[in-house]
Order: sequence, then C-alpha cells, then structure tokens
Amino acid sequence: MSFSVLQLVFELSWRSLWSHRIKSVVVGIIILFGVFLLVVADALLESANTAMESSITSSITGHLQVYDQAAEDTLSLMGIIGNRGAKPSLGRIANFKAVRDVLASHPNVSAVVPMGADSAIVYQGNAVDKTLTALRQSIKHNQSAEKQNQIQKLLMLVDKLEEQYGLTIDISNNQEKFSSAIEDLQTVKTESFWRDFEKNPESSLQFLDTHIAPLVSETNPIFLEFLATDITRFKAAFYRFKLVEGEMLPEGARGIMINHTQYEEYLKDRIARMFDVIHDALHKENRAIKTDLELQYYIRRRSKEYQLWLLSLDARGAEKMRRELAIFIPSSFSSSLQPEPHSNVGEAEDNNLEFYLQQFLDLNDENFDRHYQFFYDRIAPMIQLYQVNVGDLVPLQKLGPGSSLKAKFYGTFQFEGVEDSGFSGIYNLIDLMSFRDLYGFMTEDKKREMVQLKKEFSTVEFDRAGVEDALFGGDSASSIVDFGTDDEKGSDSDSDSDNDSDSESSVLVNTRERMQVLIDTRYTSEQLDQGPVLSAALVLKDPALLKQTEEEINQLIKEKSLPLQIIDWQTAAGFVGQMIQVMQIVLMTFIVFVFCISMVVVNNAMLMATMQRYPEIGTLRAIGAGRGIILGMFFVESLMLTLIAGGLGALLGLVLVQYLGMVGIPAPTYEFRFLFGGEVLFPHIDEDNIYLGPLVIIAVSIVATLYPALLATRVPPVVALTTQE
Amino acid sequence: MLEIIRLENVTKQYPLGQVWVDALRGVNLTLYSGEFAALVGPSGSGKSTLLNMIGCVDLPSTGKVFVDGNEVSNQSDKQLTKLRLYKLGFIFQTFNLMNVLDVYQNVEMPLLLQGKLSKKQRQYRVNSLIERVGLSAHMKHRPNELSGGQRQRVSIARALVGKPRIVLADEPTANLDSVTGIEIIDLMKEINQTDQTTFLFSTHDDRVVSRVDRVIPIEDGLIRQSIEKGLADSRFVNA
Amino acid sequence: MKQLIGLYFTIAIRNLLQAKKRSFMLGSAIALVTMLHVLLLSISNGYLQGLVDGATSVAAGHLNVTGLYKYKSTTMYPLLKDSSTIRDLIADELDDVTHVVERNSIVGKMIGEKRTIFLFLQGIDLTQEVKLTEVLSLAKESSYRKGGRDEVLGSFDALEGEGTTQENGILLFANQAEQLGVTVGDSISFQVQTLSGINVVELRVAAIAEDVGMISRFFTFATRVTVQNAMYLGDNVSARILVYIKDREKAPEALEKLRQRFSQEGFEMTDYESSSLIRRWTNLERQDWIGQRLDLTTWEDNISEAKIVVNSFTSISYVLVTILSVIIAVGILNTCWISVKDRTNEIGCIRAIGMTSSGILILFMLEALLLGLFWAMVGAGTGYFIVQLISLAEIPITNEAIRIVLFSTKLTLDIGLGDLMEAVLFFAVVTAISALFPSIRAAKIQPIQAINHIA
Repeated sequence: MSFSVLQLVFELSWRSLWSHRIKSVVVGIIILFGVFLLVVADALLESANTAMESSITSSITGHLQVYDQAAEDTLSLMGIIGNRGAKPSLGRIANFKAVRDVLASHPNVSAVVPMGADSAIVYQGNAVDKTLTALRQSIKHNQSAEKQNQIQKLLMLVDKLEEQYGLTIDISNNQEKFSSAIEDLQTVKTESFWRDFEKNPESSLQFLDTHIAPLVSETNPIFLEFLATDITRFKAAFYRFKLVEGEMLPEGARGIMINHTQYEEYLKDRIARMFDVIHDALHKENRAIKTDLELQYYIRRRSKEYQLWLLSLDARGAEKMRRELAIFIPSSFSSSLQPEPHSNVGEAEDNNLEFYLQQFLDLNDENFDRHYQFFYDRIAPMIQLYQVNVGDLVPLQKLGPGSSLKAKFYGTFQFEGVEDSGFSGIYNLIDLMSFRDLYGFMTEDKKREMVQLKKEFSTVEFDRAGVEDALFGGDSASSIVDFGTDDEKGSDSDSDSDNDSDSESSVLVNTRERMQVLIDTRYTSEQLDQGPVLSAALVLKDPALLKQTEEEINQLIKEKSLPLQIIDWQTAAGFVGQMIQVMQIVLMTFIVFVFCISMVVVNNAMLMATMQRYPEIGTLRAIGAGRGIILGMFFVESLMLTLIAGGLGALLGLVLVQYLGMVGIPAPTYEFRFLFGGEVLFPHIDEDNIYLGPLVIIAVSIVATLYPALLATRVPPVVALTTQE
Repeated sequence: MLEIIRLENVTKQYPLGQVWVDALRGVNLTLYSGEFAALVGPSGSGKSTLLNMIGCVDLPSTGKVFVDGNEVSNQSDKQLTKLRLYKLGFIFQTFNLMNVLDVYQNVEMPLLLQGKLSKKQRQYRVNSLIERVGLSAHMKHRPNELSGGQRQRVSIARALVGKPRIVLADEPTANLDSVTGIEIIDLMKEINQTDQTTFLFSTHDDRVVSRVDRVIPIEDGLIRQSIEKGLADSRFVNA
Repeated sequence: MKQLIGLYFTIAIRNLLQAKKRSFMLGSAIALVTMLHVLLLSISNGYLQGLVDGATSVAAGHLNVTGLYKYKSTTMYPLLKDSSTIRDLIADELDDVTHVVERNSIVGKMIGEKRTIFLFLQGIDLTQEVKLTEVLSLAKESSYRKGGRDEVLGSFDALEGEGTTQENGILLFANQAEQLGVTVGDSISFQVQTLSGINVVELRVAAIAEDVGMISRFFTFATRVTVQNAMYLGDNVSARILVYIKDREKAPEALEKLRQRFSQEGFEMTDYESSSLIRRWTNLERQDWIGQRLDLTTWEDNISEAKIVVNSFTSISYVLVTILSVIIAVGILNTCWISVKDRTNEIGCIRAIGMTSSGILILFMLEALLLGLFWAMVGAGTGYFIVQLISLAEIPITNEAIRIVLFSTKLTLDIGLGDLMEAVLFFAVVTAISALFPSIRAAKIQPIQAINHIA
C-alpha cells in the first residue's frame, strides 16, 4: 500500500470517528473505564501483596520455611484458625545443624534461623503467696513497719476471700469444703490468731500457706504466642528487629523477649493503656473526645477498671494516692459527684479514694493533657504499670498438659517499619532451650502422668502450685518443673527420655539457686543446634529469586536426602496467605465480568454503527475501493479509538494510584492492617504491571470492534447501497 | 357549501443549509366540503409545503390557516394532534404503513387512537373499509407481503377509517404503475362521490389532473387562478 | 384506552422480535448480569441461613437470658441462680413462647491425643432440647477418622451414661474429633477454671455429630450434671435460658418486655448491646460489680459479628452489579438512540395520523421494558437453576480462608421467589430507564421531520 493511500485511510478514519462522535464516545468511555479499573485494582492488590509480604517475611516467616517431611499438617505460623491453642502437628527437625549446613550453602540464602511456635500462659501469681513472701522477708529483716503493712494487706485479702466464698457457697456442690474454708478465713481474723503469730510466726505462716493461700484461684491468665529461636541469630537475620526497652538477650542465654506491641496493648495496666490510646487519638489522629462516640465509650468502659489499683495498694499507698488526688482534683473540678456505692467491706478509707479516682478518670478534651501528665508523674509509680517487668522471672505454663517454667524477661522489641501491620505484633521470642523444656509431645506417658497425679490429689487442690508442692515440696511460689537441662544430659533433649530421668534429676534441691544457675548458663551454638526444632526460616539475599531458590533448595534437599519439605512464606503464613489468594480470585472474577459485559456492549454498539454505514461502505465499494481498503479503514479507526481510550484510562489510573501513593489509604478497620502491612497503604505501580492489562483490553477491544467491520466488507456493494435498515 | 379549509395570506420560509427558501409567498385558498381537488405544479413549486400547511403538520411563517373553522396557528401540539386524528386523513407518497402490523391492524390504528368505539364497532368499520378497497383477502397480511398498489389501498383505508373531514394525499400515484395509479384515483373518486369526503391531492400526474373536479395551480409559492373543470385549457393566468 | 394498550404491546413486541440480533446481544448481557446478581444474593442468603440455624439451636435460642456471676470483681462465670423464678417470669410475660431450654456453660481446654483446643462445653438436658436434636445428626466414623468404619457410632442417649459407671459423656462434632484424634468410646481430659481452682475432668466420647457450619468448631455438649460437677456447682445452678418463640422476627420486642419485667422484679441486668456475649465478655468481666446479673440477647445480636462478613460481601457484589448495570445501560442507551434515528420516518408518520407524543414515549419505553423483563427473567431463571444444582451437589469448601470467611464447611446457596422477582423487576426497570432519553427524543419528533426525512 502506498503512503498516500495510507494517508487517505488515516484521514478517513479520523474523520469517521469524529463524525460518528456519539458512538466513538460511548465505546471509548467503556474501554477507558475498563482499563482504568484494571490498572487501579491491580495496582492496589499488588501493593497490598507486597506490603504484606514485606511485613510477614521480615517479622516472622522469612522468605522460605523448611520443616519435617513427615509432618501431618502443613506448617502454619499463624496457628490453626479459630482455635487458639490448636497447633499444627509438625513433627520436628531432629538434626538442625546438618540442615543448616546444607541450606546455608545455597548462594541466595543469607541466614537459616531455627524456629518453633507455640503458646504459653503467664500466670499472675497468687496474691496471698506474694504477701506471705514479703511478710516473711519483713520478719527476717526485722522491719516492723513493713510487717504491719503486709499484715494489713493480708487481712484485706482475707476479707475479700471471705466475701467471695460467702457468695459461692450456695451454688457450690461441695458445701463442706466451702464452709471449712470460710472457717479458716474467719480464724485468721481473730485476735487469738495474731497473738499466736507474734509468739510463733513460722507455724502461723505455715497455716496461712497451707490453708489460706490455696484458696486463691488463678484467674485472668495472659496468653502469649511464642516463637522459639536462637534469638541472637534471629536478630541478625531479621533486619527490622529493634530493641525497645530493657536489654538484648545475651548470646546463648535462656530467657524471653516480649513484643513491644503486646507489652503496651495487653501487659500494660489497662487504664494506663487508655491514657496512651486517648493521647494518640487526640494528638496524632486529631480526634476529639467531644465529637467521637467511640472514644467516649472507650473511656467510660475502661475507667471502671481501677479496681486492680485498689487491690494492689496497701493502706499506706492508698492513702498517699488519695491525698495526691485530693489536691489535684479540686483544681480540676468544681462539681460534686456522688461516689458509686462499692460493696467491698473493710475498705472504708477507700471510699474517698474511689471518689477521687472516678473524678480523675472523668476525662474530656479540656482536662485530658493535665490528667495524663499527672497520671504518669504521680500515679504510675505507685501502681503496677506492667504485669511483668523487664528483669522479672516470668512463670510460663504451656497450653495443654504439664510443663511450666520461669524465664527471665530481658527486654521488648519491635520490627521497625512494620510495627502497625498486625503480623509483626503476634509473636514474642523465647530461647530454644526453654522452648524445648516447655514443648513436650503429648505422649502416652505424659497423659498417664497427669491422670495419675489427678487421682492422687483431690481435684480441688489440683493447680500448678499444688502439684509442684506435692511433688517437690518447698516454697511453692517459686518452684519450677525441671525436665533436665542440656548441660547436664548431653546432646539429645528428646523429651521421651525425659521421663526416664525425671525421677532422678528433676527433684529440686534449692529452687532459688537452681534458678540462678539456669539464668547464668550460656549455651554454645552447637548445643543450641543439636536439639530438635520445629522448622527453620530461610532469609534470602535476593527475594526476587524466591521461586527459583525454592526449587533449587528442594533439589538440594533431595540430593542430600534430608527429611525436609520446603514452603514459601505465603503458605507458611497459613490462613492469611490464603486470604490474599481469595482476594485475588475475587478481583479477577470482578474484572472478568466487567470485561465480558463491556465487550458485549461495545460489540453491540459497533455492530449498529457499522450497519448504519452500509450505504457509505457500499458507495466506496461501488466506486472501486477493495475489501482491504475498507477493512484497513475500520482497523485504523478501531486502533485509534482503543489506543486513545485505553491510553487515557491507563493514564488516569496511573495518576490516581500516584496520588493515593502520596496521600496513602488509611486502614478502615483493624483487620485491614494485616492487608496493608501497616496502618496506611501507599500504593504504587510496577512498570511491568501497567502494560499487560491495558494491552489485553486493547487487543480484545480491537477484535470486538473489528468483527462487525469484517462482516460489513463481505456485503456486496449493491445491497449495501440500497439497504434501508 | 360548507367551508373546510381556508388559508389567508400564508407565507412560509425555511432554511436549506445557509440559504433561506421562500416556499410560499402569500397563498389564499378556500376548500369546500365534498371537493375532489388537486394542487398542481412542478417540483419546487411549494405544493408539498402547502399540503403540509393544510395538514397541520407544519405552521405558516405568516398568515392564517383555518381548518373546519378553527385557526390552527395558535394551537398546541396536543390540539393539533387531535385535529389530525379526527378531522384529517393522510395518504403519503411512500405508503408509510407499519411493517410490524398486518393490514387489519394498520387500518384499525386510528380508531384505537381515537378510542371512541367498541371492539364490535371498530370491527365493522375496518372490515367494511377493507372490503371497500378490495383487500378482504389480505386482512392478515403484512405490508411487505403486498404489492405497491395494494399498500396504497391500505393507506387509503387507514386514511378514511376515522371518518375525517378531508383526506390529503401527497403524490399518491408517484410510486405506482400506470394501471394501478388509475385504479387508485378512481377508487378515491368513487368514495368521494358516495361519501362526500373531501379529497385534496398534490400531484403532477396527468391521470390525476384529468380526474379531479378542481385544479389548483401553484407555481413559485403562489396560487394561480384555480380552474374549475369545464375549461379544457389548463393554462395559467398571471395573478 | 385499554385497546390502545393492546396496540402498544403488539407493536413493541413485534419490533423486538424483528431486531433479533441486536436484542439478543444486549439481552444476553442483561441476562448475565441478572444471573450474577441472583447467584451472589444466593450465596449471602445461604450463608445467613446457615449462620442463623447454627446460632439459634447449637449456640443459643431466639432469646437468651444468661446469668453472669461475679464473686470477685475481676472474674465472671456464666451462672444463673434463680432459674426457676426467671422461667416463671418469662412464661408469664411472653405469650408466644414455643419452648424454653435451660443449659449450663463453661469454656475450657479439651486435651486430646493429638492436640489441645479450647471449647465451649454446654450442659444440656436432652429431654428439654427440641431444636438441637432436630439440627444434629450423628456422623459416620469415616468422616472424622482416616480408615474409620463407615457407620455411626455412639448415640445421644449414651451421653447420659449407662448406670453409674459410665458418666461424663460428651458429644463432639466431627471436626473436633478429627482435631483431637479421638473416636467414640475414647476418653479425653477437659480442664476448666472453677470457683475453687482448676479442675480436670475425664470425659468419655459418647457420640460424634456431623458439622453444622462454623459454629460446630467451638461448641460441644454434655449433660448438665456433668458440667455442674466439673464446675463444682450444685444441681440448682444453670447458666443460660434459651427461649424459643413463634416468630423469631419479633425477638427484639420480646426482649424489651423481658428487660422491663426483670427490672421490675428487682433483677440487675447488664447494659444492652447488640452484639454477642462472647464479644463483650472481657469488658464485662472487668467491670466493677459483683453478684448476679442477667444478660439478654436476641439471636440477631449473637450473629452480629458474622453479619459483618455478609455485609462486606453484599457491598462488594452491589458494587460489581452496579458497575455492570451502568455499562449495560450505556449500551441500551446507544442502541435505542440509533433505533430512534432509524425510525424517524415511521414515527413522524404515525404522529401525522394522530398518535400523541406521549404515546410515542410510552411505545419506546415499553419496548425497552419488555426487552429487559424478558432477558432478566431468563437470567434469573438460569441463576435459580444453577443454585438448585449447586445445592444438590453439596460442594465442600476446601480453601481454609473461604471457610473462615463464609463460616461454613459446605457451599450453601439459597434464593427465594421474592428475591428473584425483585431482581427481575430491578433489571427490567434499569433497562427501561436507560431508554428514557432516546424515548423522549423520539417523542419530540415532529411529523414534518418525518416527511422531510424522505423527501
């Protein structure tokens, strides 16, 4: 075809498009919209995917995970859905060192980090036990003021216990037991008891230990999810890891580190947390209590929880707080609120304290900052701000039968850059040794052991402290169950063999000394490597090569006959990974439907438009234009239309995404944080992404618009000229 | 004699692209009940425009048009539509029947639009008219199954079914062969004589001209002296 | 006038039949979108249905009166002390009660061979329960155990135990049995927090039932006596009263009546919130009161969290259907426009013979409406057909994420006649409205234009 003919065709096409403006606009808009939708939706999903990947791989899973080939379930680090405490049955990697050596040899692997995940419960400890311990201390060191203090506290607790038992006696099925408990409690309140106490403290203390302390039931346990690992190696491999409070776990030591997000959200005093949340809401999110129903409701609910303060303060502390508040409050309020009637007897002094507390916690936009300041300056030092404190020995019990231990809480951590993602806040860290002690297999032996224990002791006394007491004697508040430590037994800490050596090595001699030894022990990396782990995370140097690396490592595993299987981070993330897939499917379906319908409509419009131009086509044919020219003309028309419309659509989509990328899409609900890898999603477009979708649409549009034209050129000229409809 | 149509000094200009055309330049005309007349003139003389004016399909630029005593220039679209429905009948050059309806339904349509007769009454009237135009055998046929002549007859039946005061026909024989054309005109003449329905044609077909009672010559937008039959000479006299 | 309508219909239908190719293409688009809408609606209906069934029999009733008991201000138990008084009050205050069921309740750790899971153990009285026994059916061993026998083991009666040696029977759901790795006859340990410390009870698996949706992941049943003993409670103590009324839609009114009555009689109650008790538990537990309080919820409150899933799903599907409808509307608009242009001649003529402009408008709108109506019905019909097919097939959901989101283990679809009619009507109207502008344009055509069109 000569150039001038081409020129003509172009001009004809362009003029046609213009003269049939309406059709052009209609078809154009539909194509534009379709492309726009595709570009934006794809970019959003891609961005969310990337954000999720980043937050998951850099805080929990690494890029790839290996675990026992013979595992019954698939590895899922987010647990089995719907039931906390239900962990997948994963077998174990018996010889981690061998595994590490092989895997680390791959050029793209920058670190191999051993892992195991499970939950544990932190029990708060028995208030009476604590008081008794403090009482004993005060007697030992001859601190009579402190002694009185503790006795006051004890009596307060006794009163409370009496009340509780009084309330429960008529619903219990063991009236006897309850009556005797109440009797014991009443005994403690008598003068004769305390006279005896002065004469012979130890025997009275014994009575308190054995009759009163067990009456306190463990409540409000804290559940913590733990990732057991070589914490030092973990820190090196997961670059986002950042220490927040306290200190880093020393290399090879036993201990735990708590996730700072959890520390603040769950382990902090709930009213302190309320203050923090409101502070952020007012100053970072620019909300106001007056206009925000959610905040008001939150304050109203949380501010009723000052009970814990009242319980933990002794008489002196309570009075101090009352005085401080008394000075502070009148300068804030001039109102006279009625104190809420509190049905606890024996706390007459606290009525005033309660009154002030209620006033203090009646927060609004005007008084908040002052009260916030006062809280942290004055009140926080007097209460237990965190349920566990850095440096504490935290008693952990595994979910499920049996084991428990104490671990030193060294410090808190966060994953920089993805703090708000939701994922990064899931796990706390525990050292491998403690994990191996805690994590037992539910074997027949363990089961039998439990049943046996239960039979031997009446079920009423069956709680952790009681068992240990019964088994090992001594100070129940600080005993641990010891399944043997590795530096004693050697390389294999398989818990099956634990049972055999239990009876020999697990009897505690002096629990405090024992504890100290364990704390001071440092394990070498060989010792850590030689025990079992549940899985290992592989951190890659170049994440873009993930698929390829996965294949290659799979090959490697087969070659070296390692009993492993390998999965990517998305599978390892379990439910969440599948969530992404679901959304991709939903989006695809969405787009496909929109596409199909659009094509039908476009085709229809083009068909009608073409039919209208039959006379035109007929005339052209009659004067000698061949089929090719006609087709060419239509083709060029279609091409121009779809390119312009598609191009515009893609451009608009790009602009929107760029804009959103600057402004950010805030997560509408908490759940969206997981999706966005944080509180805000900043979408972006990948260069490769932007071409594929629009291209597909344009190609198909051209076909859709061209097909009627094809039909038209087949019509003989004469018919085309004279057709009326 | 009753006056049916009267035009007083009617002019009409309309734009053709950038140019204005003077279609009618001061027409005065009166038509009486029972007339069988024809507007005669060459193409471009304004006869179609004049017919449109009479048929209330178009409005004059200046001047007045009276249909059955009513002045039409100040009537609303609704009123004009009513006028066309009850008082006027149209026969078009290109038949303009609805292809999706059969003969019976096409003829019946104006009665349905009028909405004044019961089904039985309609049936009676439609059937008799169809018989009158000789198409009883084709009652259920669609227009595209009929010849040109047959279609024109259906048009006639449709135009008459509503008992209009006057029937307007724009070049009714233009698309018909000579034999059929004569048949059609004769039919209409017969109806005119038996029913006293007024007929006004616009035509330049001699066969039509030779059969009408009154010839109204029109040229360049003006009416020449209308000639009563009797004068064999159809030459025009300058007004 | 009536006859005229007949004419309009005749013209409209015949016109549609004539332009077959055009109307087919657009029509199939309309049918597709209607079908999609029907399918999406049936998914959310099915989901709701499954949820409601589970919520009103396994977990709770139409109205629930739960006793909350705090003997110290930081702990709370589901305990009801004066259940007979409450039952009398309920019987007195409400007229349309069909039956009332009393249960005990406690949450604890079920410790099995394979793993440990948390479950809500409900203490039931099989002689009282009506809806529950309707909904539950026992499962074959092969459904929860690899290589298991293809027969049903255990029975509801076995819950009660034979004689005094076989106490503490428990009814598990198939998914729980699978997770715990147990079958009928096995023992498992149940660890609970009681008023006086932790208790571990040995339970015997008496029966295993088929799953009834997601709710059967969390709930399990034993006799009231078993639960009371496990918690060291006397036999006069229960936890919850489930009230069933004739018309469950009237639950909110009944709730209000009960609240007022209870208040009159001196019972203390929790503040009413329209959400499930489970959701509110922690906050209630930390509230500063002790003693007994009553918590009242309706079945709707109990599923309010799950409803969020439905709502998001519904929103997404509405967005999709709206976008598609708009695209189709554009197509119809275009087609109609061109059609009007083509028929200018015809329109002018019938205007000339006396049809009013509103008549033209009606004619064109009618055409569009009939087109939409027909194809929407085709689409709805196809959708309905597919729904029936899928329901019969009982397709299991394997993707874990979808299971969570849909709260069900099987794909359930449900659509009623009313919904179908609404869908058809909606799309027919959309079609008609799309043709509005072109129809108005058609109506404005003057007879003179028609005549000039050909001249």
